[in-house]
Amino acid sequence: MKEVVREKGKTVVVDDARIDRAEALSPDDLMELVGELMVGHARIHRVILEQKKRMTAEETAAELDRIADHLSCVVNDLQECVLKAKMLPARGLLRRVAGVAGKRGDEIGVELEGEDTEVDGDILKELEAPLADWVRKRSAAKQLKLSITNEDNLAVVRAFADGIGLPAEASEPLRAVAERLGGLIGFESHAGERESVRLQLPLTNAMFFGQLVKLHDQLFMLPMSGIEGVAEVRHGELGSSGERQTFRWGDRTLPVFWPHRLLRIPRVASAKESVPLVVAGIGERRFALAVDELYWSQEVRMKSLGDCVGRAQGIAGSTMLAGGKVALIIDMRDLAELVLPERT
Amino acid sequence: MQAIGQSAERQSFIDFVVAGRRYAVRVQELQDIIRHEEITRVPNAGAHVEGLIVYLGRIVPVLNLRGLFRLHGRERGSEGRIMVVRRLEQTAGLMIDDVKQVIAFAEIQPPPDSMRGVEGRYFTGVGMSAGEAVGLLKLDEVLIPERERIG
Repeated sequence: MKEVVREKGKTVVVDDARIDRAEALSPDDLMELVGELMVGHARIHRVILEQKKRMTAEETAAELDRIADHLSCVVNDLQECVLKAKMLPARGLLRRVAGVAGKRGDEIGVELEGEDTEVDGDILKELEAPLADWVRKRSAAKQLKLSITNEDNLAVVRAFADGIGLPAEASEPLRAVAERLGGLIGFESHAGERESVRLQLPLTNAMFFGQLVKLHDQLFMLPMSGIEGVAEVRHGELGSSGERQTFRWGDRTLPVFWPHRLLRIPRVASAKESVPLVVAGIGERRFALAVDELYWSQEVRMKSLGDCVGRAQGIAGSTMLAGGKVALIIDMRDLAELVLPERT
Repeated sequence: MQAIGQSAERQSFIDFVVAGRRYAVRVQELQDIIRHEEITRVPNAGAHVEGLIVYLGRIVPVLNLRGLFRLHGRERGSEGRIMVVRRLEQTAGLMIDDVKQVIAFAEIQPPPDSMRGVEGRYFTGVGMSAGEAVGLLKLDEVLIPERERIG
């Protein structure tokens, strides 16, 4: 028998045989176990309610309450373990994709970087075919370079081809996968010479990082995978194009949007001289979102709005912050559809 | 919770008021009655959604019968409270104006097609109390209504 001591003096007893079993379990098995735990958790809740109803054995109810608390603790830990178990090194994907270039029999070298970078297996799977397609179309290149790195808790995929320069349309499958996964993509191509593509994706589907912002008196979380950067800009520095204000970001001119009206939030004139902007988007599309306050970025555990609430345009779900406050998670794809009617 | 748990042979309900009208849920479905606390509004959600609250460390949706039933009765007072109910695995809050009592009905009639303009599918029945009709809520329908009918 082995005893694992947990926080707040609570203990959970696990025997060695179970630990061995846990080591041999696949992520799916673990997920199933989490499901079982959740069912048990719900059952205990029902017993507590029954007890409360009868108004007998309050102590039993209180004890069950404590057990339920502990169980949720265990479930959370287990969920975290499953998340970690789902992370796979990018090695396999990179080598298989590089193999596509090799199969053509051409004398091109594929340089790989970031074989140890761990990314959600499901995301790697989605990425494989579009990336292999990209490599296949550039098998006439002198040299190819592929890298997958973890940058600020995002998976950044870079592909570089030397001696070839295809138009961006040749990368359509990659653009589609970036959109599907809620990420960003950027292209750079010099016809006939060289080209590069950069994808920014979440590291996992189950958990992500978000940028906390405030609109009027409400908190919102913007998924980091859809953010290119943030800036604090003085009002006078904003340009304009017709009715629309614009913002110069590198060599691009982006439309500036105040999302308040879309989200039915009052937009109160600020006395501040500058406005915080979040350069955001989906796939290739970009826009600058004007917010009232820019806070920090943090890990987000998303809770869907659920059937009770149903669909709310622009909102992907909610998350609880450390202080017990609720922040709504912005659906970047919805927002892009709302603010950018046509593809840019 | 102390006073409302007395088990009786007949079904016990919690009788409450929204927009001047009386409704009830079964005591077994009631989890708590809490003060009107900080509610996070959900932009672009249906009229039946009041917002989200944190209850016992979890995010719980709060619904508003005014919006769901399109009630135009009295405005709610500042003393509005949230009744936390639970149906199967779904926990949700309902905005209420007042809690009246624990009540058992001598007779429960099947729900009419329309109860004062509100579709009968939202009720399991109608209880009579001192000549007044009390709508017994069918939480399956109230908590997860068919979207298209809400509009």
